[in-house]
Amino acid sequence: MSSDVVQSRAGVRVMWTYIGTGLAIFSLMLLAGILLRAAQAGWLPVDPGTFYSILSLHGVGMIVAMAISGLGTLWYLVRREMDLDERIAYLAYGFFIAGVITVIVSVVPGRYGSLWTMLYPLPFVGTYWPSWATGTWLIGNALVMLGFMLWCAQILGALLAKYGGVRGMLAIDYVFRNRAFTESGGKPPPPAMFAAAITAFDGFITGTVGLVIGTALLVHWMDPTVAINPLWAKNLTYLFGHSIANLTMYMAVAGVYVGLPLCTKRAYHTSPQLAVAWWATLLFVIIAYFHHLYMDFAQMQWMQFVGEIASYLAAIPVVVVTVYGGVMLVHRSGMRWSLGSMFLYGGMIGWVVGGIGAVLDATIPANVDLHNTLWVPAHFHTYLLEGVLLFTLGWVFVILEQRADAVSSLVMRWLVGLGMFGGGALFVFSFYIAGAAGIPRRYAVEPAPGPFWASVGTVGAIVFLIGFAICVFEGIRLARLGKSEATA
Amino acid sequence: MNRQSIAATMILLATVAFALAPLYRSAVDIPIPLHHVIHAVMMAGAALAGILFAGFLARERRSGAPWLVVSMFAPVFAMLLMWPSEYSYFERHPYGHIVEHLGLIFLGFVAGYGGQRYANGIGWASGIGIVAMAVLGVWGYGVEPTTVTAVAVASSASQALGAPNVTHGSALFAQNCAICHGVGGAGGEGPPLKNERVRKSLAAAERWIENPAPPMPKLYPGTLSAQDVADVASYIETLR
Amino acid sequence: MGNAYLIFESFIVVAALAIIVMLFLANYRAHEPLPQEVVTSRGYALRRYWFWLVLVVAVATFVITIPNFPYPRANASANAKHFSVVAQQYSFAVPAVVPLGVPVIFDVTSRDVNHGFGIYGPNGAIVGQVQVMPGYVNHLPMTFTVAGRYVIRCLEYCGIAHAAMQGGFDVR
Repeated sequence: MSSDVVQSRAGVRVMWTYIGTGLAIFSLMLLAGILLRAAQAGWLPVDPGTFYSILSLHGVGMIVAMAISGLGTLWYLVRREMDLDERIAYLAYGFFIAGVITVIVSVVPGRYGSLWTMLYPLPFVGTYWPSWATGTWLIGNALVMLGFMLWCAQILGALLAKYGGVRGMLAIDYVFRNRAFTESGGKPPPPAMFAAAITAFDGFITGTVGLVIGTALLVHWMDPTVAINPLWAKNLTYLFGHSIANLTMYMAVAGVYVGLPLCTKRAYHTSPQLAVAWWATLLFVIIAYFHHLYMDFAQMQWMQFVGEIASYLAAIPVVVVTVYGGVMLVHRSGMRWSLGSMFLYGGMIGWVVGGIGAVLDATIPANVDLHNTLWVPAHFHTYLLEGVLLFTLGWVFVILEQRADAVSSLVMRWLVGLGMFGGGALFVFSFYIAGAAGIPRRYAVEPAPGPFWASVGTVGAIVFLIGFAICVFEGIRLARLGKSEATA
Repeated sequence: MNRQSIAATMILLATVAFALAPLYRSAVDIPIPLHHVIHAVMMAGAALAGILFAGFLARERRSGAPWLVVSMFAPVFAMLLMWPSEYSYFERHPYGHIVEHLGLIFLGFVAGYGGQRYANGIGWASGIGIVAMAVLGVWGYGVEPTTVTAVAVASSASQALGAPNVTHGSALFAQNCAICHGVGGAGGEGPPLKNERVRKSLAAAERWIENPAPPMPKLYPGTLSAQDVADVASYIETLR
Repeated sequence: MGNAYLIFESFIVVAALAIIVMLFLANYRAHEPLPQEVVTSRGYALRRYWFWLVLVVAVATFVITIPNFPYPRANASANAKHFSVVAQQYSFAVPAVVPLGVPVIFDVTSRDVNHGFGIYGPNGAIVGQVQVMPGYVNHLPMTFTVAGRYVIRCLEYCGIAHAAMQGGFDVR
């Protein structure tokens, strides 16, 4: 079985480099996040300027952490199927690291605090940080984007070459001329390749748009006479920001497609339904961002209607198909629960729950009540913390367990489960209920009952942190066990 | 020379000829959005030529990796070259303008060629990407709605806040401010208010006028009323 | 509008249902494994109904919510009274009194950066909101049915004092 996991040394090297960095950044940003929630609870004296600087770092850092882990997993999975140049993966990695360092410079000495949404004209008007910090921030983000685009272009090129253009990559013949295709011996790409293809394709578009708005802001920074239309800037910023945050989910899903079959000793095949669901994501993930502008009445109205439909279609089909397939894999498979399978299955639950919260918020009349309240961080923390992160951790643990040929004890599983599911649930619950109470997001000091729910959330986050720490130590133990197993 | 290479060369030559347009027509007359469209057309031609060239130059696929990096950088430099400011050197001088166009054509070519050298199909992706960048710029890169008008429109419906009167503001400016800041804000004893490196927002300008640092005199609330301050500030906002 | 707790409750119910069903399916007779073909054929038989159910619910949600979209309609704005709102870092210029029970339209814009115009009713719930964008005027139609003090909060991050940016008016 372990031969399934270890095939390409280059792939394994790249994957561990990416995932290791991703999880390291995640751990730091987790601490930053707890600090922010504790400040909102009134437990820590943090002045608003510092609060917003840390919030800016927390936001961009988490997205990079999640993305980098997902990109590492995908790179390895694609590398199993075809030849890829390792150097490009490391070059992209270099861009990520350079970008992260630049961003840290802009925030830590520079006190940049326009958040990672950086809505024009905020980073230039009425700021409490020096102008150079804005420029540094923009350059740092552009470097991360360039790394991301390199990755996307490399994977896209490899997939196009391997599967014979867009038709093969997206399994178009497999869906529309199924009988002729299968009878002639054709095989559709495996499920994880859809995740890679959609990430690379939409990532390329997202990256292009990110560079358009980033460079435009950079030019405005150097030459303030260059005018920028705020509505245009907002559209581009959210197209870029929403899509890249959303894509982290679709990257991490690949871990389910490959990891869950390893746990259940069953096969996850591509079905026409799966292919069509991914097409829906491919098309609609780019325009789903319209829901960020529901409350901009100056936006053209057809965009609002399309936004609601696109938000549904980007998320629902692929969740429904993937989760249905995932449940069919696990149901009566005789699977042993381990940390790996627990994370992967729990991640699917978190994905569904966060998705329900997202779909509610993407419904325009509900958005009037929920837009820019804590409901928004509620839903994305659900799917990032209890979805994307768990998929990544699940994938890592499946590999570690296979290599060590061991699983964690029942007590260990309960400890980690209580910490990461129990603490995580309490943490996101505090966001949901405060959002329903109308507490705005991004408030350094919240009106009542915000601080009460913030203290509940802080407790939840600390419990999560304990669970995560136990999980890290357990991971190290399994990794050592696997190493001694290999040498023995 | 096969047919493909002839077509590619023709397209490239046509694009370069198009780039010489500023010689015949003053480029400043063309509004910025239209300018973006023209740039997009140029880069589309260049990217297409690049893709076609790659088709017969790139025999082996493995060596393509470095090209990928080059083609990914092209759009960023293109955005910088398209700097949509009427004060930008490239826009004001016909020859500089041609240099800018040639640069854009080069970058469009690199995007198409480099992408295609890496893998069949990526040239189209990066070519479309660089053209889409220019097209996207039409709606907001270098163009904006004016804040002053919007505030006036919102205020005109009720008396909650007096609409800033730019004409009155310009009269007040000529009386009280032009001695130092020059006629039309061109500058003199005091700093110019046009072409500022860092520009104050309307609100910041009002706060500054109400509470300036020496040597600028404090005329509020003595000489200037709150309404006067708003009028002067909105007039200054129109100086660009 | 004003339905946040209803949304929250339905969210909790649907999410709890999803969690229970998924945990049940994973643990139900887990120690009596079946071959994958058996599970798959049963699953495929059910799958069609499941997909249709999701589709119908999604389409129904969209259609049912259309009449409640908050955007200004041409016929509504004809006889409504207009009030201007100008936001800037970190304050709102708003009317002091807004009439009760008649349609009003807030013409909202900003002097500097993006802000949010969030109206909180006397009971503390959001009754309406619109984004405030420099260079654009957003028209927010409202009809207030409850008299009292309404609080305005900024709902788009606008700088260091974002959390302190407030305003208010009386409805009577």
